[in-house]
Amino acid sequence: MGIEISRLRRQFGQFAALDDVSLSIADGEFVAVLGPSGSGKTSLLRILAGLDQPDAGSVHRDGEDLLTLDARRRGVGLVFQHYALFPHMTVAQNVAFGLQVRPWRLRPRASAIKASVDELLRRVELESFAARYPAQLSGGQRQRVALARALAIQPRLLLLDEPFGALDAQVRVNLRRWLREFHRSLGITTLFVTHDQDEALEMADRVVVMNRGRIEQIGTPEQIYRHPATPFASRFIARGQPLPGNVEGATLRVLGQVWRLDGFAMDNVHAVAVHVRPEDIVPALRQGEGLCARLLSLRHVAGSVRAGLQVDGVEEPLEAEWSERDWGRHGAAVGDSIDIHFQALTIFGTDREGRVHARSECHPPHAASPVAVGPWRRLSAE
Amino acid sequence: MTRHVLPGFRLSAGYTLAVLGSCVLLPLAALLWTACELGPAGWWAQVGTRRVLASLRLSFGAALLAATIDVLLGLLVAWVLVRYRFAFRRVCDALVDLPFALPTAVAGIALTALYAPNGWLGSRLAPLGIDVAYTRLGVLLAMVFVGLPFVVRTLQPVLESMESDLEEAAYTLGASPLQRFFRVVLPPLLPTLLTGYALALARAIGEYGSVVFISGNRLFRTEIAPYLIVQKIDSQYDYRGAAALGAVMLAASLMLLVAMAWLQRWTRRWAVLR
Repeated sequence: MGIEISRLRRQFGQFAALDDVSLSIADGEFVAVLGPSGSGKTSLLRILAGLDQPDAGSVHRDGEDLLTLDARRRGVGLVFQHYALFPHMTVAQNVAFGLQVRPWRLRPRASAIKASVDELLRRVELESFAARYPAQLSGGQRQRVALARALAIQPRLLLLDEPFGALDAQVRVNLRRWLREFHRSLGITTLFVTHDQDEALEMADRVVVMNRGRIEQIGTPEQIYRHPATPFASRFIARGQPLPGNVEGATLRVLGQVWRLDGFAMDNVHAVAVHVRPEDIVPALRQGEGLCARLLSLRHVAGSVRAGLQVDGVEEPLEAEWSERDWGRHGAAVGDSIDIHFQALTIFGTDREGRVHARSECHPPHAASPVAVGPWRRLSAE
Repeated sequence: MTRHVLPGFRLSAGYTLAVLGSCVLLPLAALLWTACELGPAGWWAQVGTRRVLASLRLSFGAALLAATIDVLLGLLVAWVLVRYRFAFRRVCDALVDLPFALPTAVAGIALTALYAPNGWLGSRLAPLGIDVAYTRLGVLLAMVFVGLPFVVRTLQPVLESMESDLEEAAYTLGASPLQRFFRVVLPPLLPTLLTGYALALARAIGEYGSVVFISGNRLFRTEIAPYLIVQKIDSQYDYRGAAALGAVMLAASLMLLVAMAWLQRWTRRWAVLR
């Protein structure tokens, strides 16, 4: 069962924040909504929480219409990006708030409220901070208080709005792991929105990629990374870089090279986009093979090498990423020319409105060749 | 000594103390000195009369009540000005400052003209049995009028910086509109409300110009303490008597403001400096 979101639409003047958004979330699932700012992800969250109403569409939970329920009675826990803790209440009072504001008939006894607050604070590892005020806590601690406060009302759906947006990088990484474990132990259906690809791919069971109010792709992190459905998903998630290329019949032409392309129907296709991921740009096996590229920059980042490459016919420099070990065998320097080839290309055919009609992946044949043996170096003086 | 971002701490601190001393403390000391010349018995003879006690009761009683009304009205006005967008909002916003800018005597005359038994509003209220001009109600009204901008102007910036996140969080946690207001919105505003209250109170206690016209200065009934002080100097050249009354007002005002400051500190106990 779970949550069924169907054909949601939300318009602010001329701007469509949500444009025909449909999504179903299974019970206990951990879903990330990923998109750049202005993609409509926060609008979706606010509608689910009951803080905003859509112009069209429906949201059902186990067959029950959620949109007709007031936010107070939805049983949805919302964690705000900037925590929105009540500054004049202690940590314990903040967590107890959702229970204390219940009508007296439904309100637990004071002792029961205290017990559940203690239990929640223990779960978020903040037992010893119960008497502190939010101003006395660090960002990560405030985030966990906000989480405990949202969980106190025993929500059936937990919504997190950019939960780590305001935190330091180190705290963020730790809290991510912690939240993943926490979700596993609770099993509560969770939807979180983020603009951070790593965060979404690392944490979620399923990722929903949004852009300009539309859902571009829904899938597991692996599916989205390996098989992006749209040029946007490819650029945003898989760091796909556009190459100039075109398709004629069953052949693909990219930068003067020609490959066979099967299963790419050109009906309704107005424009063709060819994308390559940084790790699919590899040094050619033998000198003189593949495309000639000038090495513009080299950066060594935690076990991998990121290279900026200038290729004739491509306006923007291409970024390639290799493991430090592979790169150690080649050892070209900035300013050298090297030969590269593409291991995998993704080809999208879109109509005039940008909708994808055809999509294919191409693995140029030399990708399957045996691994080259170094050392290998091409002198720029040649 | 630690280094300050701005240089010249000694110079600026010295200057501040000199200005504070010569403009505030010196006149107040002179006031107390003059009052002391009377001696305890003479002081009580000046202050202990029925007329003076009645005026002090009216001054402080009406000021406390007026400041309370100002806080309630001011919260409403500030809330509407900050949270809603409507036609002529900016005009309304500018109007709030009018009691600041108007010479108090002008305000007094305007109020009197309006509420006098033959005035535009007064003539309509009189048949209902409500007399405003020349009654204590008139005193209260004038004090409310001059105090309102203090509350609105102290609240506005705080309300503007307050994000609607808090209310939305309370909403999703199941709080009713009343609970959201009284448990989430109001408590963080309390310190600011108290500041506004203290300012309006101070202004109302010391108010003279706008009150004396509408009050009519009836013996034992609508005489305010500042009026008596002026009377003593004006008609009797009794500087010591005026100073004795002034010292009482000074002491009472100081006590009220200190009490407000303590209360304010208590309401801000959650805003811990890290």
